[in-house]
Amino acid sequence: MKIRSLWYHIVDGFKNIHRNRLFSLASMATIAACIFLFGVFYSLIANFQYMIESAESEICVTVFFDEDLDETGILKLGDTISQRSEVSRIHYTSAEEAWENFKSEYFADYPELAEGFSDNPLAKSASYEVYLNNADDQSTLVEYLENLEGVRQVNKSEATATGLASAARLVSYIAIAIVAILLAVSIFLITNTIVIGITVRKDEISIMKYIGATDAFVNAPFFVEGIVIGLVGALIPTIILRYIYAGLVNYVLSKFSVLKNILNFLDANAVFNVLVPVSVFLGIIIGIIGTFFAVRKHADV
Amino acid sequence: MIIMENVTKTYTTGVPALNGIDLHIQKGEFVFIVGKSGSGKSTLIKLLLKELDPTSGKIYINKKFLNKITRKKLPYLRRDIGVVFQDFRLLPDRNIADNIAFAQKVVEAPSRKIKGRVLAMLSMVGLLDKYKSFPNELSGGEQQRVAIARALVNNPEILLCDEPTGNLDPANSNEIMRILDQVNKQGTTVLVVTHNMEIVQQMRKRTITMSEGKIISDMEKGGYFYED
Repeated sequence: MKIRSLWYHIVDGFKNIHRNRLFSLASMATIAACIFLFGVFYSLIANFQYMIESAESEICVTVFFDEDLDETGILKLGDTISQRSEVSRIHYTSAEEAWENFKSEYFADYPELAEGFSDNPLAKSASYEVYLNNADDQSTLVEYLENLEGVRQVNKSEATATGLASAARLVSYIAIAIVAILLAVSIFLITNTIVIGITVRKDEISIMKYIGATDAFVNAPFFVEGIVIGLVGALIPTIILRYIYAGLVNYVLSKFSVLKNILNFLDANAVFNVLVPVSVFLGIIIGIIGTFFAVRKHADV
Repeated sequence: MIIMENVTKTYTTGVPALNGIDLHIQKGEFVFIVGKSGSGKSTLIKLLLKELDPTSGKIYINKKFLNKITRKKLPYLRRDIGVVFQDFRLLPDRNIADNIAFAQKVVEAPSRKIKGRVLAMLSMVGLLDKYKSFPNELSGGEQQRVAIARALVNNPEILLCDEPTGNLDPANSNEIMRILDQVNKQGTTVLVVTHNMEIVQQMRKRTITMSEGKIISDMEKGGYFYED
């Protein structure tokens, strides 16, 4: 197929859409529904992921050491712990720091009460705060730490991140199932729309083939039609979703300001910088696959 | 130009449509193929266009071995063959100039050449003044002339005509034959399948008569072979 025929095919593809406008609209609507749901699920999962990451960065396990272990031993254990793959970073709190923190937390209003302690009552409370890469690894790491020689006690975090991770996983599975069904329906509808276009133009295609048109030349306008339907079907819901998302986040944060500290929403740009190209790609692919099935079966006139 | 060697075509029903056909047509010949309905004329045309494959035997067009032509190369073979049908097969949604230009666009001819070529073809079939007319505004004879112009616009070496006068009155039939004769004199090989005895007798061209899938006569200077 030659480049000079490209414009001819584009015009022909749009003519096909106009001829079968009702079916084209039905196909666009189905793709739009599919992409809209895909966008909703993607936004949900992306936000869940973001919240999990935020929560995970705060999850830490506190490790206390045997009373007879000196500071050198503690620092050595710290090195060992920090080399674990589950660990993102560790923070050492010496006995003095622990006492200072305690004082500022509990005796801030009555510092004279703290002066009643001549020795550091937390002398044996040097600890490491061990931060994790992934909340799911907490139990593995705790088990390892509890069995480590020199470790007296491990305090684990009962954070909600694991719950969030499970919820995100569940939403992903539901999303994959629904989007897969809608994808199949979209492809089926596009195939039907293109088949109707082929049937309407059966005589024309037959003449084209007698004259010596290549398969690529005959099929090209139908691929244009499928791609345009897919593209429009992807862009419309993405634009709508962009406004709904921004509006919803603003609404939730302004009406329920108490949630501001709990819910960290992703910025709309961060979501849609990924969602727009992925949706457009998905729409085009649906169009191409639908057209492929149609021309493979029906354009052989 | 066209060679068929011991060609047989049997449909899935088991009915032999062609049975051991041997045919040689030279470049620049004008040949009539005549015979009753069911004699195998249409099957022969379909084999030459490679709409069908022979059950056995060999077919060559322009030294190309049709049996081995792939689907990918088929369009390029068909560009050497113009086809005219009894029912014209014009596109009703475009005018006659666009109908002819369509054939050029389909083979991706350069757009600067299309207009000149279309006008030349319209002039050849005597319809230059009607270039903006739509097919439904023309008589049957005029529509067939447009179909001939469309078949010739890409300069094919062979013109296959399947009952080109089947829907036309004698005056229009004669006009179509005059155009086909003129096309042949310019060097195009013309193969006409017809029932029209008067025209065959009148034109005095090579005439092949078919019956029950076989060639029963091949007369150099025309004339209808009458079966008992």
